[in-house]
Amino acid sequence: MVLLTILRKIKQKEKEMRLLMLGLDNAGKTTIVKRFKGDDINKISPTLGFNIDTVQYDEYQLVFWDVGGQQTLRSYWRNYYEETDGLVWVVDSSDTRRLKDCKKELDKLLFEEKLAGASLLILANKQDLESSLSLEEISEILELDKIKKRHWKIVACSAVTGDGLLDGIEWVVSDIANRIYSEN
Amino acid sequence: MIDELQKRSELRRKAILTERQQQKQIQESNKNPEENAELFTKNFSKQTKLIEEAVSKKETFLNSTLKLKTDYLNNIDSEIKKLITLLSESTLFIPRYDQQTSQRKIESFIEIHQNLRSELIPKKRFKFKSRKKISTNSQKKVKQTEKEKEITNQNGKTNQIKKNNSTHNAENTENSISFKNLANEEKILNREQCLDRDIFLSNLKNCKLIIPVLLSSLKIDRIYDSVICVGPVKGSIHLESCENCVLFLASQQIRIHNANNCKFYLYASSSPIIETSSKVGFSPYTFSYPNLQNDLLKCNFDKSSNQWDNVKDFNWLRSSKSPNWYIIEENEREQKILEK
Repeated sequence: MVLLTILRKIKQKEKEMRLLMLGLDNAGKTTIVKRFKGDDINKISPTLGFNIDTVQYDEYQLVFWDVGGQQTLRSYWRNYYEETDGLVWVVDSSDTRRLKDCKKELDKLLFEEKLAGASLLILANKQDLESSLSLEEISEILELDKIKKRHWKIVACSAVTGDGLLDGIEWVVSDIANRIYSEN
Repeated sequence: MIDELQKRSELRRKAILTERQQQKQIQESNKNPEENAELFTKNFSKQTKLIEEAVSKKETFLNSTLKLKTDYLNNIDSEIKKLITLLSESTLFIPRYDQQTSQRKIESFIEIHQNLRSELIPKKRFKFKSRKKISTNSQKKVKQTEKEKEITNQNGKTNQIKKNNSTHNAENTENSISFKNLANEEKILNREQCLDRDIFLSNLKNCKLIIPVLLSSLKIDRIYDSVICVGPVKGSIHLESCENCVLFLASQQIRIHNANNCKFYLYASSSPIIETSSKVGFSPYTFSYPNLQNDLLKCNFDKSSNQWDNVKDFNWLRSSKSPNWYIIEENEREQKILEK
């Protein structure tokens, strides 16, 4: 308990938030982070392992943990759950074939005890592609209305054009801030 | 007084000793029984023997049917794969020397297997269509595209048509173009139809598909014995399950999953990746068509920074080169030129 309060105090001082980016491979996790940082998004290689990127946003320091989504890496995801304030689940809205897989993996995460306290932001990415499904269709397939025990929100976005990214991040930051920093 | 103290210290020492022993026992019982170098050597040599025995039986297959031959080869192939997984699962705890020798052994097996395949099933040379043939094809194709246009025009009825007419499988919904469940077909798609579209290819057998135009994204799933040539893809290419295929692809991100015995001619602006794949060959992009340079420019692809040979294998996370992919020899590389 004492440790927890100390940790919380340190966190309060730095106002740091840890966001864990997860999703199937080819969803666009790294592209979203790089776009948010303002880096070049044309030469991003599929993530082998993970990347950590820090972005200053308002008074908060956002630490993005961007973990690769290939099949072989998914078993390592659990190593990153600890101390996650916000879970960002990225969906390739044009990948209709694998949306079932996507739902399965997301459902697994929702059962994780270590992530139970994290705010959940779902980014329906690749809205710039004409074959992408809409926000409503994706919410329906992922059965988001069944998530009752936590704060969540789904936002349509495109990492390529940048649309919707800020909306999503804004929501997750304010949701985390309400939980962590407004207690005192 | 002193006696009392000595007794106490004795007791404490004993308690500490028993505790240590207990801890040791717990540690030992927690140790994964599979993480054992000896066990690895045993399994590895057992597996190598199995393969060697199989290889020695090749004479009996020299005059048998194609099916038996392929079964026999696939069997050896799967045994080699088992060997590779055994090694990659064990690298954490086996000595470096063992790692290297085992890896060399695996490489030699792969070579033997390749030689065996070429000996038993002589390769059919992949041939290019002469210009004449292409033009007759394109006439056929014009008819086909007309048919497809018809379908797009009646967008609302697309699904109905698809159900009624199972032979017509080029499904052209308003948002993407997909080709599903085709066999033994040859198609050259025209520019207007595909420019900047999302393309899905699924379950193709022995097909030849040429899409000489800039695309928005490309997803491929289950293709066998096929040849696929596409122009530059602005977004990413995602490919799952392909066997005995030749693909000409250009994109900024290329992901290859479950590919076996395939050849890739790539332009890639970031390193392509493979996962659970084996025997995949790589070479620079050699597909060309009249408007290619323009399309490449539109995507900001710079041929001089092609990363085609910087392949990352997700099942081979170490510094030595993965045995699952190779570079296609320069004299064996194919070229694909569409002149019209």
